[in-house]
Amino acid sequence: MAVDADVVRLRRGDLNALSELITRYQNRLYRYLLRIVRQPAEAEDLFQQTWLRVVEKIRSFDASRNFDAWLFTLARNLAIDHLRRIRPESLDEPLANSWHGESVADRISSKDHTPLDHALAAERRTEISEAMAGLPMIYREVLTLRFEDEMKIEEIAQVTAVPVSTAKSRLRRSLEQLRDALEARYPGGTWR
Amino acid sequence: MNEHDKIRELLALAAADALTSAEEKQVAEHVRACIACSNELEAWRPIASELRRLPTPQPSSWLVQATLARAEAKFTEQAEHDWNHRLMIIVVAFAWLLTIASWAVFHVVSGRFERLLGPQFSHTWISFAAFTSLEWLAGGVAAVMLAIRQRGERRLV
Amino acid sequence: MSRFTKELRVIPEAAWIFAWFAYSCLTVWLFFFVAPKDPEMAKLPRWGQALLVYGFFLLMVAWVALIGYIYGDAKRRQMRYVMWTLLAICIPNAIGMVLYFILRDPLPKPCPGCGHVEKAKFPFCPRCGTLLRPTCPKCDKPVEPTWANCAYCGQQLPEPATRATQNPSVAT
Repeated sequence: MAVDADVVRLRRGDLNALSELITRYQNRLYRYLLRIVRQPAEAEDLFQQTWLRVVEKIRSFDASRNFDAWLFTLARNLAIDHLRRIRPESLDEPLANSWHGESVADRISSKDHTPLDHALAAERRTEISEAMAGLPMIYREVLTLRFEDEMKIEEIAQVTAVPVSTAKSRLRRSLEQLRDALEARYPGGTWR
Repeated sequence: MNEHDKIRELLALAAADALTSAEEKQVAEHVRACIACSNELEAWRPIASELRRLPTPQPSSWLVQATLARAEAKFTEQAEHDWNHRLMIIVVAFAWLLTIASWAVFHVVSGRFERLLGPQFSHTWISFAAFTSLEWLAGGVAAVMLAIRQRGERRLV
Repeated sequence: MSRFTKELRVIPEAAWIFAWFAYSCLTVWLFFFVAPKDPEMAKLPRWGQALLVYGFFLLMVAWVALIGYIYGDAKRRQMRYVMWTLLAICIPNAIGMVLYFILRDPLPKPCPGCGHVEKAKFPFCPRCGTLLRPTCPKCDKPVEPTWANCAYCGQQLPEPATRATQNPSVAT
């Protein structure tokens, strides 16, 4: 796998490997951090700090382990420490002016067919984004890891440092809460 | 009905593709028979599919470059740190090796000269201890002097 | 090329020549002339004597090589290399060497303006005035690339890629 080869190169001191790794993970890692802290400037700062931490600890990283899970665990720890210091209440409660997704229309998947589908899909995604931003942090996190990063339940359990059964039940409860939030905000709409 | 409730709990996870193959089979079988659960499952599908297709937020265009600059600086700093650490261990081990070797040399040399210098110098362990302590004292004095000088120089910049 | 072999090149040729020459002379003298006549050494078998003499003096080679390294390294770091070399030689049991490695200055980089090499801690080149290290926009102290804020005055720093490394506007 290309990522593992880069990790091995990085451990040996190849700086080009670092550049490739950062580029490869830029969207995924930024998205994950953004879902947790909900502020783009903070997510970017934490993105940088995560990679500094990676550089610090890469020597003691066993290359046979899963780099994805390790990277996201580092990012998660930094993000949680950050939130505990700056906004401890946001770990559980929704934030008033948090980012929930702008200019959605620019990035619609090409799987939609008609302009009407486009518009409906765009609307639905905005609704989902807004509802998701209102969930507690551990629910937002497990949703983004499962649906946006497509991590397996075992990997999610590793990153969030809980047993697999807890990760599964968190996923279930997050989906249920998300659905309840959608039905509450948009009653009688597309979410029944 | 116990099974029905259990399956209802699994439906959300089924839409998320987060079930084991055994659980998936269970759900598939039950859903074929039970219309309520089948409808529930269909209700979950759009949520799951839209979650999968949420637009990826884009970071600033300079984020990767900025991170790379900082990470590279940290990397060279870390490599330097690790190297110095290893070097210090080797040099200290070498210093100890020399200390032990100097005892052997001291023993041999004092053995040869004890006829000239008199019997008291054949108290070997005391001689070793005195010799080594004097060296460490000299080293300690030099270290303190150098450190004071260094601190003075650093304050000037 | 590993870090170790790169660092070995700092040792001047003269040090290696002296070390191996002294090694050959001393070991030959001790092994062929002193050892057979010495009462204690003669108790050992011939290969034991060889091991003792040739093995022991490898320490001497290592010691001379380290002194050579300190000479070359202190020189390239713009330190007082004569003083440090003497300290390494005179303070017994390599304590001077340990001190050197603890207290040595960082490696300086050549000035991008004139190529002159000065001590690493200086923020400006003494020959041409080029800014060598990025400095804080508010308090002018040199800053590290890994910093997000100045450690001396707290000013938020611009991204490393965009930090100023050209001459400051002195002509005001």
